[in-house]
Amino acid sequence: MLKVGTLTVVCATVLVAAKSCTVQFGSGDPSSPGGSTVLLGVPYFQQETEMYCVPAAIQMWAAYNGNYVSQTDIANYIGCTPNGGTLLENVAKGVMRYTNAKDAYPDYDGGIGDPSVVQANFTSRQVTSLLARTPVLSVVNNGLHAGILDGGVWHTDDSTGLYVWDLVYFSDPQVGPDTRVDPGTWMEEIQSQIISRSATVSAPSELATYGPNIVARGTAFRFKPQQN
Amino acid sequence: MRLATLILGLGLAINVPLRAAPWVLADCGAEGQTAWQVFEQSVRTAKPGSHLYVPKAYPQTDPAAIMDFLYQYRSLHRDQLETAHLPVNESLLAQGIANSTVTYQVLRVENWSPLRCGREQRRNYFILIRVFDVASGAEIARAALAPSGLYASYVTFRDAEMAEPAAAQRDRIMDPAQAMQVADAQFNVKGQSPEYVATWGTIYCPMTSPCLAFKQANDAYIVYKSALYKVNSGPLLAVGKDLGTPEINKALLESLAANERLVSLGGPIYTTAREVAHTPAH
Repeated sequence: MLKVGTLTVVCATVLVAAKSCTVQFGSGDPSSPGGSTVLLGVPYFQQETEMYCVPAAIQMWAAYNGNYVSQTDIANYIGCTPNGGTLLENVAKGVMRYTNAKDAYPDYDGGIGDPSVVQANFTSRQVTSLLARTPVLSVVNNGLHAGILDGGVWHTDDSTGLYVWDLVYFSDPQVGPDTRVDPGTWMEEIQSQIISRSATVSAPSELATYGPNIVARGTAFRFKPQQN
Repeated sequence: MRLATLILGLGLAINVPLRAAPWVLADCGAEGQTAWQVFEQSVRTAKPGSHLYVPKAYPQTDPAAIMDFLYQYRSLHRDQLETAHLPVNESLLAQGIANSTVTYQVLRVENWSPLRCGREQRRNYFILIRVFDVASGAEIARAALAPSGLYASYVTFRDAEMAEPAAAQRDRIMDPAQAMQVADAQFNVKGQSPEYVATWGTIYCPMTSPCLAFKQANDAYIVYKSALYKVNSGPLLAVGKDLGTPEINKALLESLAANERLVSLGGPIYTTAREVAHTPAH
């Protein structure tokens, strides 16, 4: 359900930008049939060993920022064990070390409060980061896998006036670049993320403003606008 | 088990059941039943234009599944976007569908991942739709639909992958019975009840790249990255207690032997699987 909130934020931002004729996020008009797309174009790297999904994800993000570093160096820096286990805070340190996101931190889809509000805010931070052209390292599959969020697609529904979140672009180091995931599935796959604090500062206010007008494919969830 | 595998051209409508006799090692509890029923009703009563609408809700045949896939894909209007604004080879898929120059193969993938018992919907299986270019035989894309017919995810293939011989591309996923014969010879086993499965864990079989699972005697096996793993009957590991975050997972992963892996069984349950040393049949 989080994703709906995030998507709402994104859609709303796009619309506001288009009307004010200032900044256009993504390509295309969300009111056009093809909708609007944010595709960061993060370079894709396959994981070099079966347990190197996190090093591969950091390698992708680093390359997006123009820093080419080996998965082995990253694995050594974040303390990847031969079996692949590493702590999320070490992943954040790796992101800060090798990418431009010097304020990256572990962000969890959980904690105190209404779960749907927590999820909405978590998702809102995802979308806001993408709009700021900053990748997100997504930890999925019960913390056993990771990859890079590379963008998403949304459109406005003329008949309802709602913003519809259509797809997430997830670059999976095992599967390939830009797997298109429906938001309903995505919100159940992701549990935590490494994200830039400065890239997401506007997420709560945008969620509060636009959340009620967002829906997402594959889920009946509606975003609750309260901030957490 | 009968996984219907069928290559269809556009417009060719043959009513073939999607599946029969699947099996799973752990299933959902009843706690999500109410939410699942609400969601199913929402999908079944959704009107065209709704973000939950598909023309054949909970499709029971391959043509119905293809119809749902095409409806949703066309609703994205991907063919109206410039190639530069699309992921790699998405325009190939969009044009292939728009021009009817593709064929489809439909398979059932049993869902052993925690998505099986989702917050809103049960996803006992995924409907995997492979999309091939008619002229070259290249596999352009794969889409996984939930049992509702709604998208779960889709991928397009990269140039190097589509440059492989067409037969090799087609045989990436064989009919389960045929795949079982290959596994029998490769691992010197006599497997029964083969099916494709999607799993989470360090045996990670995505819904668009499923793995072959089968039974032999009272044991279950899974083929992963050209190796055979025997699924342990215990101990069962619960999400939230034994695993679920990198912090909890670290100790668990480090406790595994070099030939052991984690594999989800469906619902919030995982177990370990151990690689089987084998002598190929001659």
